[in-house]
Amino acid sequence: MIPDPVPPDEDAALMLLVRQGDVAAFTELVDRWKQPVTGFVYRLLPDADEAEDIAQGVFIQLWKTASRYERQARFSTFLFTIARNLCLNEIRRRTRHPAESLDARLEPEGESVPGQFPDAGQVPADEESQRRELVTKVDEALADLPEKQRVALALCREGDLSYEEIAVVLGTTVPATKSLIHRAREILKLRLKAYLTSGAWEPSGGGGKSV
Amino acid sequence: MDRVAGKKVDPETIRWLRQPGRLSEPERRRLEAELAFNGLLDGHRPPPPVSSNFTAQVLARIEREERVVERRTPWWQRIGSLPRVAALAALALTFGVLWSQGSATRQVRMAKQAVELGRAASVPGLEAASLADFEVIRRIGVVPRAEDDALILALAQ
Repeated sequence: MIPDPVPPDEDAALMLLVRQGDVAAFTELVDRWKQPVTGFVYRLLPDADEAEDIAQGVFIQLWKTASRYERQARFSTFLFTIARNLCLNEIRRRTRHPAESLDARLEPEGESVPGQFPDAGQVPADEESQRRELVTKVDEALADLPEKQRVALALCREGDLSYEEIAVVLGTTVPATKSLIHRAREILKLRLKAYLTSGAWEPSGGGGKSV
Repeated sequence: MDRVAGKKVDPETIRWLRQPGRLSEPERRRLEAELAFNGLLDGHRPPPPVSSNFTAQVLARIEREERVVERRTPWWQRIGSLPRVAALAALALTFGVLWSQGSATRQVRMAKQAVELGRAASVPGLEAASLADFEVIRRIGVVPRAEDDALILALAQ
């Protein structure tokens, strides 16, 4: 989901200005990319506040490492490489120091899922609970994917990068990237087969949005 | 179909693929299954909208971090390389001038000592061998008066 149909060269040109310490160019880049970066982080670490905090960290890192940017590299691959590294650091930190989420502790059984706003007025209660269960199942299935597959899938769906660009971010080849994404999707389909066949999930928008 | 299975596809392409006769029945079923799966992946947790002051927060955090780094950096690293070189050059110059002044003072002192030694050597009755005698050396500075000289000569006879 790229916010504007901006030619990649324009981002690269802005980044070259950022290298010289141009704050206005940096602000422009942050405004353009804050939503895709936050979305990408949220896919890997599904907590809205934390995702925004880490996304801000990505831009801080971008500012600090601007001197290493070279024009040959597409800006999005440079940015998402930073985002990927920060997310993986956070995931590994959590694996080393597992802590119970405050939301999970405060939330009684059957209450709303963190990051979701209940809309009981429009959705029947049983449908809502089914939806919540599905969200949990998808989260679990995604969390169980190998690290590289998760990142590849997130870059593919949220970063809207080409396979070539995803390969650069992951430090692998294009065929290996395609294989990672394919395997990730197959694993998820298998785990969520029950929901997909029963039709418990109805994609919203009816083809109106980019899928 | 592979494009649908991986990347995001624009609604136009989807509408085109859904047109009657475009795909065989098994292909159409696969398309719908892939689209449903994409919907599940993208829609189960829609990304949260970023806060309106996101950019301002980023800039504030950068400023804060730079201030902390500045505070932790020793003063000699904080000044740029050119002023640092200039400061070192000034320090070296000062040291050089002081050393050269000290050296000149030492030379003057040595010259004075040499003159005094020459004057002492010209004292009558003072032979080189007697310089070995500490007491004689101690009295070098005391130039004997004329009456003393006469007395010495008288005693020597």
